[in-house]
Amino acid sequence: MTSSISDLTLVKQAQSGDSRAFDALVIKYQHRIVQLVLRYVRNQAEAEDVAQDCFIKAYRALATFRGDSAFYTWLYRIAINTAKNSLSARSRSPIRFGIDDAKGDFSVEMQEYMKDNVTPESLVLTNEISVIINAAIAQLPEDLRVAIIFRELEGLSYEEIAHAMECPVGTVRSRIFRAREDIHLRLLDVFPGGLGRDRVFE
Amino acid sequence: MSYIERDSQLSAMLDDELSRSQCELLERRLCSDAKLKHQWISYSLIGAVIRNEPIVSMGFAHAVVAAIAANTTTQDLLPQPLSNSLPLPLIARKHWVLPFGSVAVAASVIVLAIFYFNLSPSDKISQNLIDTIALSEVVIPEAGMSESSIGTAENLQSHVAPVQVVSLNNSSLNSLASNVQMVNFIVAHSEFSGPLSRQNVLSYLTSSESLVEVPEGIGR
Repeated sequence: MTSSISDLTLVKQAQSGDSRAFDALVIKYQHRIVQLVLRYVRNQAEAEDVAQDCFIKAYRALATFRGDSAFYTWLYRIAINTAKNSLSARSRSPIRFGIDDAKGDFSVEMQEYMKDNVTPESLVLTNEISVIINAAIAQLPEDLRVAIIFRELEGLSYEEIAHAMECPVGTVRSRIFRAREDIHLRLLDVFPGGLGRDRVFE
Repeated sequence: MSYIERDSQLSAMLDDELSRSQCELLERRLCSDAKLKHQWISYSLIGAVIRNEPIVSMGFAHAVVAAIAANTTTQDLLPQPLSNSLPLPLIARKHWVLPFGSVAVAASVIVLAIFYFNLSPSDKISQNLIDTIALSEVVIPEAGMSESSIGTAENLQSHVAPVQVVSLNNSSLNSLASNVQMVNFIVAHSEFSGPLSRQNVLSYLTSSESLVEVPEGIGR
């Protein structure tokens, strides 16, 4: 399986040193990688740590990616290896918080680590987002809902969806876009600043 | 190109349904346009929710990029496996290592010393060692002390522990320095063993060589 054109374009840009292109790839695959890592670790906070490390390793090894396989396949292997390594490392040296730590004697690094972990507020936020999106999908016109479900859930291509829905490919593309845009606008109603970290947590 | 067309292309790009040239053009915009990036985030999020994937914390990607920029990883902040971290003090690894290690070191030093001196027959070091040990047990009659006060050989044998009286000849005197050196060597390199252990080793040397010359009528 060769790499998709859009991924390859972003990878090439990232290989030239543009971390914003890699940022777009992270945004695209972050949920999928966390889900994958969750097979190996205990909770989502830990999975996010491992996923974060996976993406960093991928970025460092990006120069070796030649596009022979799909970017996600390559990333998948890194994620699996990172999760396995993390699992064995943590079993050898579990995290310990000493008595002195309880007095507030955390190192700066540990404070940063704790700060970046999943907080109850962020959990509530993600649940809220999930509820909004599901509600928005339920309210979509049927042709839009079917099109986006075929694409996102079944993973069908536009051509396959067009065949299933008996309509032109351009119509499929338009329906999927309109479905996404409708849900996106509903999200903006709740989060006017968007869903980026800096906007939401301000 | 209208905003709607551009956003439509973004949606198609996410699904890998865009031509290469359009991808390259849109990719440059995606990297520079904040609004387009927010849409990219939303579109990805919608897919994750439909597929019932776990929604990662907001700012996950931001943290990845920040970590890349800082050239650090979250794993660097976590405890590393022992093989990758700095060596810990010996006592911190295993509590039993120190005492057993000490005994092992002491034993190996003693064994080495035994082999070393056993393999040097030419200068009769073993004999010199016996002489040295015997020197510490010599009973020298004090001046003015009568023969009856110290007893006869039979009395000594029956009442006192075996005593060896060694007459120091010239060869013994000449080798005394090397004897002392050897004993010092054993003592200096047996810092983990007790005095009793050292005495046992020295006794072993004397008995194993069978070089003890006990004058007739004294000792065994």
